[in-house]
Amino acid sequence: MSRYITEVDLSFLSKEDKKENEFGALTSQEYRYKTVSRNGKPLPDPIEDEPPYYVYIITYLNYLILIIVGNIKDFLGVTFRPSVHKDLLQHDGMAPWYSMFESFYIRRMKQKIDDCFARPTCGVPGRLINCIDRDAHDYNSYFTYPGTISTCLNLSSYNYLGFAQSEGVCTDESINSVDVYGVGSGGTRNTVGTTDLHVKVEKTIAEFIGKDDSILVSMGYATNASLFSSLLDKKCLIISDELNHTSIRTGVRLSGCSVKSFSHNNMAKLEKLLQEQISQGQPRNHRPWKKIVVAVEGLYSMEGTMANLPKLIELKKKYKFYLFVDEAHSVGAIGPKGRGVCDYFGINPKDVDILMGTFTKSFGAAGGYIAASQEIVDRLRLDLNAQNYSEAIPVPVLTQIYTSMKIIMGDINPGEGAERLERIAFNSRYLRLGLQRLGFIVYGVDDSPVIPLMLYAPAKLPAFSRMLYRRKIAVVVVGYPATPLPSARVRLCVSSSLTKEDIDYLLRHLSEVGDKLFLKFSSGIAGGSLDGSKPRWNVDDVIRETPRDCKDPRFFVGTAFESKES
Amino acid sequence: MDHIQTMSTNITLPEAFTTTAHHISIYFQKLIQLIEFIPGGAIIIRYIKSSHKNDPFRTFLELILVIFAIRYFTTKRYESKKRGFVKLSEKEVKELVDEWEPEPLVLPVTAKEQWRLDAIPIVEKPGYDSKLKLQETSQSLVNLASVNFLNLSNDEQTTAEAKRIIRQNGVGACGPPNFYGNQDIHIDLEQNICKFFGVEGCVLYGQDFATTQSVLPSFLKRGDYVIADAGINISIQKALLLSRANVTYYNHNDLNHLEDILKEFDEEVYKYEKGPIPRKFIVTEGLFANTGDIPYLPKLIELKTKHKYRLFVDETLSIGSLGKSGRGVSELFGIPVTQVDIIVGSLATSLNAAGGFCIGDHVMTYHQRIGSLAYCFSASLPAYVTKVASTVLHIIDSNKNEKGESQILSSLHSKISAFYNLISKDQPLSKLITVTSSPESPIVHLQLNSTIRTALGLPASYTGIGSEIGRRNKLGISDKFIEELNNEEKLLQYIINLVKSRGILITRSTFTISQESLAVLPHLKICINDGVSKDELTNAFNVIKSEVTTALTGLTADGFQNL
Repeated sequence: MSRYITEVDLSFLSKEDKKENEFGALTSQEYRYKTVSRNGKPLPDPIEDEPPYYVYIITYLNYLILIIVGNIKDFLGVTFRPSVHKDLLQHDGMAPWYSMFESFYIRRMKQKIDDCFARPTCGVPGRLINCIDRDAHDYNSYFTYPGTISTCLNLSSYNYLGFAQSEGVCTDESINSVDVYGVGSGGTRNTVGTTDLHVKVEKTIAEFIGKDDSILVSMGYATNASLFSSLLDKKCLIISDELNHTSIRTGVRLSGCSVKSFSHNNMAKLEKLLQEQISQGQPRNHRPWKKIVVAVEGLYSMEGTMANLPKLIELKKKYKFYLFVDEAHSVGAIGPKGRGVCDYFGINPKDVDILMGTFTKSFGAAGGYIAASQEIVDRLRLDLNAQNYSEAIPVPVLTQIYTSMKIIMGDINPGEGAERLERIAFNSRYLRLGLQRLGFIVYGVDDSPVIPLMLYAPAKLPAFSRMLYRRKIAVVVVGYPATPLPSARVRLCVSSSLTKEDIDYLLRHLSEVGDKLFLKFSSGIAGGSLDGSKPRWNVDDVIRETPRDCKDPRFFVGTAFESKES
Repeated sequence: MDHIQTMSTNITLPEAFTTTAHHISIYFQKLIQLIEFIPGGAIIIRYIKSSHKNDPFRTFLELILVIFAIRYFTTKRYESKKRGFVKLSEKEVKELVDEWEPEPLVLPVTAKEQWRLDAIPIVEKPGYDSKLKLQETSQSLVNLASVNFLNLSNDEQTTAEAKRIIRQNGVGACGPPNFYGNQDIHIDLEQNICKFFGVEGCVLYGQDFATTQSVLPSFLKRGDYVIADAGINISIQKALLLSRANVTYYNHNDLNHLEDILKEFDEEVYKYEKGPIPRKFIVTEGLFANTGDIPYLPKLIELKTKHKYRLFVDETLSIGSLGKSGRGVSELFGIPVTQVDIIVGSLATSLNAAGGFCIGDHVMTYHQRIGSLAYCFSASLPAYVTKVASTVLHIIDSNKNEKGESQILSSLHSKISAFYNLISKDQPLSKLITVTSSPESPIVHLQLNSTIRTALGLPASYTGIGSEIGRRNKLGISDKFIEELNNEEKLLQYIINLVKSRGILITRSTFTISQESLAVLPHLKICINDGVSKDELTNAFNVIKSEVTTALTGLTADGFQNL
């Protein structure tokens, strides 16, 4: 029993096992699906399934009890055991680090289920993930490590195309680059941080995305956090989707511009807001805005929904705003050629002013990029904080980005990129339709590799996570404040590295856990049933029928309407 | 006509009235039955019935209240906020929409600024060693520009460990730290850093520039107080902007001024604060990125203890370069690291990897794991990067003598002081340039001498209060091009190019000038690298001296324009 983690030795795995654990070999050519481009057609309005009303009552009751008990505990603790609650009280004339109210959620709710978060892992987060076992003590106030690991099926990592690998051409190239360039980054990009590889990779990204040029930033979050200050000032307006990522919000706040938000993906409200803002101008003085930027995400990582790009482009032409699309989750994972939402919708990337994305997800690397026209990139190169003050991406990471991108483009190992893209498309559709047929409520677009499965009551978060961990499946559970209060969920991230049999295993266990935790309450309006009845399929039927059905748009409610129309 | 209408109403009204009344009564009955179905519904009905029997007027009043409540909750709440809203017809809105022409998203880079893009050096293999190669020249240059002061980028041990971990863990971590993104190697580095500094907790971040920006706002909120140095870097400026705390600046490195402010606040401000004590922070840097000098830490510790403040020190450049074993500015002054409440460091400078970290006590670091945005909402560092940092910490500590001096740092320090002595004690040179950095700083900052700056007609500062950039920011003018700044930076680049042509690479400060809210001036920067020998440093000094003299002697305002 140790309180510390040391580097875990995984050398007992043979090379073949390791390879299979990181990226499962395709078991049949049947289990591939080529995404169809929407050719400029906007998405139909999403249909959202609501659980029975008593689920909401239970959820709110759940929070109410937690809050009441927590507050009583706080009161008693501070009154009778001040020595234990030192962090909440002022002492020696100094305020505590955080107030009782600010930290209430963390102390009284999150800490109770801390064993479900931040599970330490070792090795490659590929098809399987090695979680280091730990024992929680004293309500998760500390952990001890018995020295064993659990190898779990990985539905938690953003490893969409399965490039998290320790074998293969990407890794070989990265290792070679260490010998050629060393490990460090020498400084900021505008002093000496730029190497010839940076220039080469920036050009490759631009080619991949379909833009003139691009800029690399060493951290995805910081890409957004530093971008907006260079584009906007206080006489400008940004219109932001209400569910945009924190990094966008941070960036926007730093820029000091005015912010308005519209309800998630609601294009009618966006249009109304645009009309209002353009005609009213700046508050108080009513002078026209200098410029208006609309910021959306390509694929929303907590919802699995996509920005309705064709509609946005149409509005953009009418209202002359600038469009920013954050493709952190969609680039590489979405579209027939993996080029992101533009590719998926069949939109010319030149119609979007700024395309931003990250390499942590599909490319198995780190950092982010901004792709835009040459004029914008040139200006940003001089005026972006990330260029002037933060370190450059180190070369081995750059090499990983370059190699994985070239594989997707088909320039290295022709055919491998296509296989990865078709496997993630199949896996996503299979798992989504399978879950819908079992009776779960899942959110998002049919082709999205992010599948949020709704749990609602907060007490189900730890139960779900622990039960699946015991069944050797690693999932991410998310609750408030990352989601709205009543809609706690588990987020399943599908990967190309999973085989069809892995998803069978997952569906069987999810079905069992779903029965035990009382999670199957979909009404069928959002998918899983064609006749309007409540889908409650038997798991064996699901596994038998769905691999074939998931390739047929008729079975997906969103696209089913369209095939009826045509 | 009138007659007929009256007739018809006379006939139809009673009929309509009775049927409607009948329908209403049926629905009312049904409604009551429905309410009775709800658990407890019968009690409500009984209550209403009995109260109505006793006092029908009260029922009427309550009904009005209910209607008012429904109306209140359904009307749009923000209407009162739209005070300045001008009501426009649809046609007017359409006209205004058609008429509106936005400014371009960014202003294009003009011909006058093009040199900046061209001046960005492109490094070729072997990367950031003591000698580096640029794409534009075939010869290799002495590296006095990169910030990996310990020169461990191509070191055998760090590269071997990096390769081993890439082979074992791949490159990316593919997830945020709270969701399976933290691997054994990451936790190992956190533990190593804790052991190295003797602190309770450490949190890793994906980029050094983003670290401070995220750490400070997780503790500072509206209503808190910050007293900050007026020379802090832009990352802290942004952090304070995000935190919405009350910020007061003391003159750069003037601790007497700080003391005055602290006293004044104690007497004038906190006395009248109601409620709990606000959080109070003193914010400074260990080694100032903009000027290269070092604050006198013992005095800061004394002041913060006396006035009950917490001390935040940004040690991005000082950790791994200051102190006999690289523990940063606290070790330089012989103060335990734990005396400083929050320290932020970089893994990208001396530690040779990438990313940043924050150290301090357990409570503070634990809170960051959920309260700090850049930690929660971004992916973990690649595993090999953290291993490199661990290895560098090991290298620093593995060769220590009995006095606790690390060999590699002693070697770096002797080179820094040798070079500093040469450049700061040279009389002719001091007439042209001023060395603003401290003798211990691994980055030597050179600024144009104030007499020369005045002769060339350059302003005392480009940014900050009363400056041209400050004025343009206030008015919201998009164009931030300033002729004088462009010329001054061009002059520095001209010197860099002259030095480069003689086989030495030095660099200069680069700013996002429109976003600097405090006073800054452009500097030439010479970054001392442990891999560069003392002879090479002496030679570098001679080259820099002669080229600076060539460029600056006899330079007039006119010649300056035509560089």
